[in-house]
Amino acid sequence: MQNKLLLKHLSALSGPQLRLHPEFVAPILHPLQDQLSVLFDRTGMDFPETWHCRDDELCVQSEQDLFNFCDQSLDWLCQVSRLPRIRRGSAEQTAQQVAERFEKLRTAIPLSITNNGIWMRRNAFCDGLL
Amino acid sequence: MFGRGITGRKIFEDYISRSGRNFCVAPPCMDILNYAERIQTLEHIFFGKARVELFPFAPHLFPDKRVVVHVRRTRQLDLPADAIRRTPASLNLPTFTLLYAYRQHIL
Repeated sequence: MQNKLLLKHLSALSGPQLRLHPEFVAPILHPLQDQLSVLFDRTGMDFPETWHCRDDELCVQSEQDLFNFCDQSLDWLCQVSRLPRIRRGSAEQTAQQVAERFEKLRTAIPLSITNNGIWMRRNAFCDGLL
Repeated sequence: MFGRGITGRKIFEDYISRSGRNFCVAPPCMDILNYAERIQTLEHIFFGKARVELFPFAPHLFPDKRVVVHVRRTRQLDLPADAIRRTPASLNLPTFTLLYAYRQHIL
């Protein structure tokens, strides 16, 4: 089950779309292209994957790119988790602090009612996301 | 409705959202939804080709970018507008980096 409440919370943070470098996506390229060609034959509709990144576009190619946090997201996370500002260090150190604040945010999400009406902590049934 | 999850980005996003930790677009054990196969099953085994209508999941094609509104209109369903709930269709880069860091450090 997805943690829709947390996703909704996270959606407050704006920013560019996640884009992946074609080399990263390469392992699943063939299965996807096979599917797309079958679907195109069946429907006449093209459903293009953007396989090529322009040089001027932000594009995730290495894991290090995912530890490149923008100031806006760090500030936002500290604000909503009510924890002190993150002191940038190595990628590892910064990511550790991010994880601590993210955990605080996750566990701080208020009690909510499940579909069957039983009160429980939201994070107890959000295994889909976290 | 097809297409959601058919891009590498969406597959990687789903993998990390669902407790994945590795920097790979999809682990070998992860099933990637095969739309072509599933549609053929729907057409040939369950409903028949004439009764299966395909539409790409592309928010820009939906009124107000809302898929439920699209289905409601095209199928003329009597769904009250205020009962429609929205959830984010995908995570942007800043949000995804936070989630990825969390995955690496919190078991």
